[in-house]
Amino acid sequence: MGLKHKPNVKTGTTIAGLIYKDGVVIGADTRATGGSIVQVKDCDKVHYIADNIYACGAGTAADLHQVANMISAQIRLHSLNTGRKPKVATAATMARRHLFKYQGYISAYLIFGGCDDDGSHIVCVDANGFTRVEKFTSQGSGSLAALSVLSTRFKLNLEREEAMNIVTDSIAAGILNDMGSGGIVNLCVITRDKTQYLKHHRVVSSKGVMGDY
Amino acid sequence: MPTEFTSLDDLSIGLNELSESGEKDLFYSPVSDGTTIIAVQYDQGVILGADSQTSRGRQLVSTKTRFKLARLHERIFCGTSGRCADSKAVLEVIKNRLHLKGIIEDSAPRVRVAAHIASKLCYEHRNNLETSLIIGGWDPVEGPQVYAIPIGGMMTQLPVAAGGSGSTYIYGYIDSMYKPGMSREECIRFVSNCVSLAMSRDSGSGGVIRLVAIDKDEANRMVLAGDEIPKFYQG
Repeated sequence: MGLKHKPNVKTGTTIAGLIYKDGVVIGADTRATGGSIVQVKDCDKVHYIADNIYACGAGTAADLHQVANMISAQIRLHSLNTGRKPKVATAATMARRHLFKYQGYISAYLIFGGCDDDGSHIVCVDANGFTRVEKFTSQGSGSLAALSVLSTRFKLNLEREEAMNIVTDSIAAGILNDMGSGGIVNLCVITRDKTQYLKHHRVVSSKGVMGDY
Repeated sequence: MPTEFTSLDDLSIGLNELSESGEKDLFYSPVSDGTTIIAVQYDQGVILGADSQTSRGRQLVSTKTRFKLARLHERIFCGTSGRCADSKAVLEVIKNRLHLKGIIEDSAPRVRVAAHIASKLCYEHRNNLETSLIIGGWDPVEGPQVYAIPIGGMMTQLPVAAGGSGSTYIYGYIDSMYKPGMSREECIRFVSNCVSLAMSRDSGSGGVIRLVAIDKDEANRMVLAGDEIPKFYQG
């Protein structure tokens, strides 16, 4: 008989984001699970949408990759058509309309973060097609753990270092306390002028090493 | 290219197994408004009130700062409850159609028209939507009006309408405390009390009290937060 292979790769996931003084910081873990087996230990959950917009995703990995690629392409065309830097609200609305059409069957829970001409924004999009604009947020199975860190430490107008630490710690909380999340913290810091994708920003736990959490 | 979203005709059906994820995780259940929404009509205008909490699966609070009183037009606002995604989609279509009607008829749209558009939409898609609306506003033809559109798409005009999960806890209060002929301040106090009482008994309602006071001259948005929320017996 053997082990029944669960084909559907889901990302258990902890993703989080917040707005700070100069822009946004969004982060994600790197574990993708199929049932209770870790399928991918270093999965990239921070998706490129535009130079100034990135999206973190929780849900079914295939759905997320497809939706993120599709929105990225549409945003590129849209910005070429309008001749303007793309807006986070546009990306979120495109995602929302697509996901509402499929009534939640496309399992993609996204956090769009970016800086555009209207300022810095974090927008959460649900698989059912609900969007909400937040100052800090988290999604995925580790969202409660991450949210507890974010709620406690978030303040308006944070400095860059502190903002990065808060998001990293909140993803770390998810990685350590949620079985669906694990691996390394990936961060993306987006400001008006620059976007920095910090892959493997912090290793939360390694094999054979005792952590101090 | 993004397409104009003016109809819900492409609600997909027949995609049963697009993703195999059958598990109804807490974190992956639809976000819905627990909600208390209420609207009261008085001589010169309408007061709408709502809480600001949305929940996921009756256990997880999704956000505590949601705007449930959406602006359809300058003097027409709509409170929504039910599944958030459906509410947002429905509001978008109603706003669009109402705006178009205003342009075609070259005058400010009437509250009755807004309510009719809403109820027609909700009725046509009654099998797929899970959202109920309360539309309140003022227009120069009929003055202040409140329309309730529960799930299913029925439209009815009432002097005071309440909706959402929290409304069940305050029907007694509404029946005993509502009097026709209240002043604007009395209505605002009445609405705030209603939302506060519902918030304290309904786990799905919470956050702050959002109010909109609509009359001939303005639509004034207000918030009651923290200590400003009316206090009652906490037993």
